[in-house]
Amino acid sequence: MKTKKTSKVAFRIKKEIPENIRKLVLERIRIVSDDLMISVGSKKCTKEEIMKSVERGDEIGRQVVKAQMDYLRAMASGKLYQNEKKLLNYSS
Amino acid sequence: MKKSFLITRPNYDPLTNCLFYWCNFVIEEADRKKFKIVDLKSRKSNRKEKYFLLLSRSKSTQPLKDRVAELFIAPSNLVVISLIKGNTTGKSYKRSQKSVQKKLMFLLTSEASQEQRDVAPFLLANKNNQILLGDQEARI
Repeated sequence: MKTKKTSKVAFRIKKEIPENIRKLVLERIRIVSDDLMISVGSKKCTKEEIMKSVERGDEIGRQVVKAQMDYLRAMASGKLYQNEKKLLNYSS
Repeated sequence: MKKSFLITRPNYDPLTNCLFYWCNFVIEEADRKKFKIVDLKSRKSNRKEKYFLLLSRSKSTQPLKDRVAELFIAPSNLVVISLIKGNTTGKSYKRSQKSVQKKLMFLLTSEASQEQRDVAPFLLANKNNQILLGDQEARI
């Protein structure tokens, strides 16, 4: 049976960003245009601040990682194009 | 009795400045439909939701010419404009989703600028996070 303490540790580990994914996302953010200004919720960030968040694995960093990985998975699985077909079938 | 339309549009930094000007399209539509408009200009809002918004710094003095911001704001404005036009919440939501999907497809083409292509993951995240709660047949 899990104790309260081990559950907390497990939760923290689960929330950490795996190193290979962190590196991939950092490289993807690094090549983003310097002209872009990014807002997540009500927090405004520069590209460098977003990269620091990803490195730290804080809340904003995790959201950026999720956005990037969801996009790559949608591209690889073809889901992005399936959405297109589904929405085109919607009669307005 | 005239229907009222309350809008809060802060304007205190480049990001809110951009939103401030893009809101004009919504206000114009509400005006055309004879809504009584209460425009709380320059008041700070308590926006808490996690929504990505990306802008071009180089267009901060001409927000309506910002082709990156347009990708994010136009589908968002579309929900409100569609509701003002009398459509149901369900239809307005689907229209907005369809608009984002069209923009995502555009971003996969060579017609999109590199800067526009960079923001595709964030646009998809917003699309996935946009949800409709409650009655899908409700209308103003």
